[in-house]
Amino acid sequence: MMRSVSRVLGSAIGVAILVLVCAVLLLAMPQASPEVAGGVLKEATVRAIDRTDERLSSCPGASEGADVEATLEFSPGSAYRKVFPRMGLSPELDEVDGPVAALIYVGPYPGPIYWNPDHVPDERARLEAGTVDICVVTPTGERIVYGKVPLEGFVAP
Amino acid sequence: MRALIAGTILAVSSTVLFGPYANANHNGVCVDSSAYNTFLGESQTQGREQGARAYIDSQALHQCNSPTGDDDRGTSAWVGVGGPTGATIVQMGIVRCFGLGFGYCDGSQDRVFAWGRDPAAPGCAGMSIVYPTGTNVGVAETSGAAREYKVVHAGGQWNGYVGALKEAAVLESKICWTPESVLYFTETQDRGDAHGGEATNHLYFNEARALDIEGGTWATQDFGTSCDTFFPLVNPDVYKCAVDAQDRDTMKMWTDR
Repeated sequence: MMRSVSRVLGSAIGVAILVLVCAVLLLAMPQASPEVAGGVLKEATVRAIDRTDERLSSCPGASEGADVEATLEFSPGSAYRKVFPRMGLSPELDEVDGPVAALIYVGPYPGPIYWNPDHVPDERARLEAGTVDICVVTPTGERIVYGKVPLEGFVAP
Repeated sequence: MRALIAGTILAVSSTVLFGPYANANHNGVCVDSSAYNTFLGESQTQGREQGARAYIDSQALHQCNSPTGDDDRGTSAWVGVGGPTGATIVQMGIVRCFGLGFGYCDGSQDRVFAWGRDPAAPGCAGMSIVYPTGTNVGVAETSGAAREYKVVHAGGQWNGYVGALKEAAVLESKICWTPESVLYFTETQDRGDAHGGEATNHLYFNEARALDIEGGTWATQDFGTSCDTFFPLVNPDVYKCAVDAQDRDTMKMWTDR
């Protein structure tokens, strides 16, 4: 009787030690980067792509007709502030886990912009020094054009 | 006195800006692709706007003629809600545009949904600027019955409809600004583009309605006796807009070169 009780106790202690060791090992493993709204702390992989990349075909002037500063892919899309550290918060990119294609224009976005007719801005003053217009295409094919994105901190791949 | 001054400014501006470019056709020769967009129509403010809708004629819109074919241009007709800055708008409408390498701007006539955002708008501090550039959601008819175009706030989204079909939507989390107007208008990109229809075939916006409360009742719009004035000014001798005297929720636009 005593022998079987001590055997059960021994097994329980063994299992407890095993669980403890696993917990310690799990805690010691490297953690994924914490996700922060706006992708500030997310790591991004960035590579240059050709301006004729099919994904950029919905960006006006990608294949021809526009001066282009850079064309790139970064992943995940939600890490946009790792690529463009001074870019404003963009909830539509926070949800994007896959790679996005981006085109940085030298001058103002060349395609049509459908302004609010009550507040049409002065076209001649659309770009501010140190900023660029960027056309971004998400994995679902959605095109989003960001205006006046600060280039400070951006490193071309 | 103010009307006299405004009229004088209009007349002088139209002569200086547009006189040399008018020609005998409904649509003109492409002039300046980097010119300002121009607008005809109505903007109405009546509270916390939650939707706008109107029937827009199904007819061909006419962009300018470019002898070399490489000039970007476009003409469109929209219903929408607008915020306090240029980029703050959600709109659904008809677009015909052209520009080499300009995506869907291939000269076809399309249904387009567009939305934008601006950190300068109250509620949007710290957000990025999104230009309302438009997403092509289908082909727009150039003949047949008028179709109802609508934007409406419902279910945590701003939705774009053509008839009963929801064609596009944007989550309200992306629209940080508060609407302050409902909009019914035509728009051009080039001074050679035509607004609306022709002198003998006007483009109509019929049965304009607006929604003040989500899920509430749509109210009939009263456009008053004349269309609004948008800036930059258009040549009133060429670009026309009129409110129907009997049905003041109806207006028509046309170009008479």
